[in-house]
Amino acid sequence: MSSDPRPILLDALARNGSDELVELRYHAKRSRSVAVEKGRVDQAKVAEHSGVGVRVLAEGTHGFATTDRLDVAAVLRAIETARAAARASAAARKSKLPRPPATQLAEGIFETEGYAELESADLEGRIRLVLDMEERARLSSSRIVSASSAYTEIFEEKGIVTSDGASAWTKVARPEFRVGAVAQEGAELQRGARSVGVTGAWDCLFGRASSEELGDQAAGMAVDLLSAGYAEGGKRKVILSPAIVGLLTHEAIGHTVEADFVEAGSCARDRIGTRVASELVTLRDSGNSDHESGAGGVLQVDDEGVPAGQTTIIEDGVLKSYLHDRHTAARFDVEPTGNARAWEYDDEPLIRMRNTYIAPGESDLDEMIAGIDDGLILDGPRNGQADANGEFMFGTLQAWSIENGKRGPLRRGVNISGMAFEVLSTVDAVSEDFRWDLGSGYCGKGQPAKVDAGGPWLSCEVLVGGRS
Amino acid sequence: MSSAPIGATGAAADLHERAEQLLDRARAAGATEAEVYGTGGTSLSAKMEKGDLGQVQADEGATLGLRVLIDGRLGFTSTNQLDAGALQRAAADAVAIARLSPPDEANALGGAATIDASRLLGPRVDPLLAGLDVAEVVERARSLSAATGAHDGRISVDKATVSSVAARTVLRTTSGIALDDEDAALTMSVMALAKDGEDTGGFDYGGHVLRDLADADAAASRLSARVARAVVGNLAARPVESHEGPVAFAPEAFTTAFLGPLLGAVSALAVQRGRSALAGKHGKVVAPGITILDDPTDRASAGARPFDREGTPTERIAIVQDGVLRSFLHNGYTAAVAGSASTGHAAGGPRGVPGLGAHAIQVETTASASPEDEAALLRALDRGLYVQRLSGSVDPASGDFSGAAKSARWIENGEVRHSVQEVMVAGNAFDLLARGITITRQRTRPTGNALLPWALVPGISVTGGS
Repeated sequence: MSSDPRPILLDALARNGSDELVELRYHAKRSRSVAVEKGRVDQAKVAEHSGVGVRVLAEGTHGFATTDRLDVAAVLRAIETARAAARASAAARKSKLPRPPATQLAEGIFETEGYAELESADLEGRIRLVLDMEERARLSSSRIVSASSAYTEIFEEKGIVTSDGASAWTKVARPEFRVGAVAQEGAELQRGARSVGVTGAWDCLFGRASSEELGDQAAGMAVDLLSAGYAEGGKRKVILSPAIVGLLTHEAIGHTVEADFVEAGSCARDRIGTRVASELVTLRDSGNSDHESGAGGVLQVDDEGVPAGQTTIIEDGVLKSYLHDRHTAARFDVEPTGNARAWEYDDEPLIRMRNTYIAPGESDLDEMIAGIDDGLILDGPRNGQADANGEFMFGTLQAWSIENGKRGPLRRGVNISGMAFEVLSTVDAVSEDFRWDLGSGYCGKGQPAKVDAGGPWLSCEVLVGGRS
Repeated sequence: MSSAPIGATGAAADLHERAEQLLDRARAAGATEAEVYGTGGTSLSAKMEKGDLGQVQADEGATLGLRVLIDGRLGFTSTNQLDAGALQRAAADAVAIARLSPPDEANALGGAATIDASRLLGPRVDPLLAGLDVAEVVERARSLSAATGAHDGRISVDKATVSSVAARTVLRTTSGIALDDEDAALTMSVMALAKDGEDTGGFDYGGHVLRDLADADAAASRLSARVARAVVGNLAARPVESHEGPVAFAPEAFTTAFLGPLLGAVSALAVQRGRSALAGKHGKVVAPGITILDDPTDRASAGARPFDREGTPTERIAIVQDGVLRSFLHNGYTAAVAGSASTGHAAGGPRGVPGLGAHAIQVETTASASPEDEAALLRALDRGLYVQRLSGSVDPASGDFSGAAKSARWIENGEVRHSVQEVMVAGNAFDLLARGITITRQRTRPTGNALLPWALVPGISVTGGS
């Protein structure tokens, strides 16, 4: 799509002949990706998925329909289908959904940095990069038996038009790069991995580490883990890296403050205004790239047309806000926070995070380590999940012992768990550094979402899964 | 709208013609070989949220995926835009990418094989299912939500979703494959938690896929009862002490900790790429007392299918037979690398190059003295942890798994004593399988696909929060 989709959407809106709330979202997603493993190209592709998602609020019920065509007639048919679906099912809705109150809605053109630069680049350079980095990682040690590398860039273009005033045309580009290696000694296999993802162009993607450095780090991690032992389990004092802090903020806190989960009875329900964390903790979710450029989940306008600003969830340890779409905001009597997001045109908008982080503090990392007699430093995000009661689990790729105030030997990655607010209450130091470090990750909630998370180094207590 | 049934119509109606047009354009653009795989159809879904109707969604659409090869060089495009201009762009892009890619002699398309027409799904699509309208889908979602909540007043049903999907699949290749099939399914899922005063139990969820509408009421009843039992049981959770010992795994947790790593390691791609712990184990004992089959001919499984993503006929194969590793899983690419034949395990949809995966797994015991069912297995455990879901991570290369035990129970004298929170389990899937684990004779299909037992596994590290 190279032209503004809004005139077609506005035309369809004008002709739909009703005063119901109609939301139209043209969403074109085009991606280019290359994946290589052990010298062989597994994926070299261009994918396009575009169309218009239509949501109509009729008789107090939402109907959602889609069309893969951007023309007035097709959009009008989708509006009619969505309206009919809402009306046909309205009898089954006990509590009628009111029209959300008027709020500030976005108007204009919103393009993030790097879009044009990435779009104009050819694919040949991408293929070369991925081939070279895989080869570099594979040949870096005789113990590396396999390596892989992948690059993806996603271009998203949206036209968001609503019958109550939103009219936005947005363009976002998100490149991501990953490299992995498997090392072997005898029957033992260990894996190392590094990945980066940003909203922006290549200089931003490789701003903190070059592709070569990332490849070397992944291979080195795999080899080093071959000789690493297991960490001791139990309630442990830990220092979490910015990436793991990102997992903590996203999994342990972020999901429990999504207003739909709050309404379902999450542990954050009825806790606004109460202390839920150490006073050292200030936690935010932002559509912007606060503190450092290039956050992977930058969003200027959400999929209901609400400007996506910055939301302070926890301030100095006190719970201040949930994350909302227009409808939950109305029920909580607050302004929407710009968190309604849909993965593709045929997905409904859900309450999703954007860039979630703990604000930097004042401590020095070396001093934080020096203050711990027996603990672990955890780094390298692997995965994570959280429960409605605040119990979370996430995995790390690496751990280092802290012994008598000094960084000790490398241990294999661990899984850690805890109750979200209890763990945040144990935070006793927050470093002055800050890093976005989950930009290559995706959040899953029925549909994926591109998010980022990060923060400073943070000292707290968690349950570490150990193995003898 | 309320009387409009779904069906493989609309965007999918002329899918085979579009696929052939795309194939022609790829050939004209310079592809020496090309494959077009497409799916399209319609769906209706209704979502209940917190006991009330959330949203009703009606979709129709189709996507084509084009794989081209130019002297072994790979290029791929996918698009849901099926007009002539979009198809031309897709063909040109795929060919352009292929020209930039390095050659790989294993990149080749398979030839046409005979598909047993009696195994096609299309002729047996349930007309009642394909004819569901909005009101019926909404009523089924409402009923699923209400039935789950009705089991206990403390249950809060976060979401209950029912979707009816009808889809058409087409496959065309320059090597002569021309396959079409249709399918229709009803999917249902429910997610809930229980609250008792200040006590919020952990959530649980479940899902099911079926092809015969006549099975839907019974499946919904089983699903709601299972989720309700889990979330009520999650109340009043207590920590336990760390220890090492036997742990019982419900089918879902068994899949995460053991079956998943094993199926990853029998992928021929993992073997060829040096990331399989089972490389070199063909013909050797890897899981004594256990047989693992992949049976896509079993129509009772949602994974049943007559041909795979590349058009290779699927068949029942033994991956592990009485503990012995009998087969790695191959698609066309890995078979070419190995100099063997595809086992019919090309997997995936039209939006990517064919991957590799099992279709309809069945796990069964071959041990002479296996516990009959879940209750007998817990009696055999006597005292210890029972994990129903595992929220954790598994390293597919090493087989190391570790994670939080969800919907976990503490067992004393073979019976549930209390729910457990803040407990983590860890072990190595390959080591534990090789040492021998006990599985039940009774099996269940927790999601409508794989047929799975309960398992009792010795030597698990349990880290408790107390």
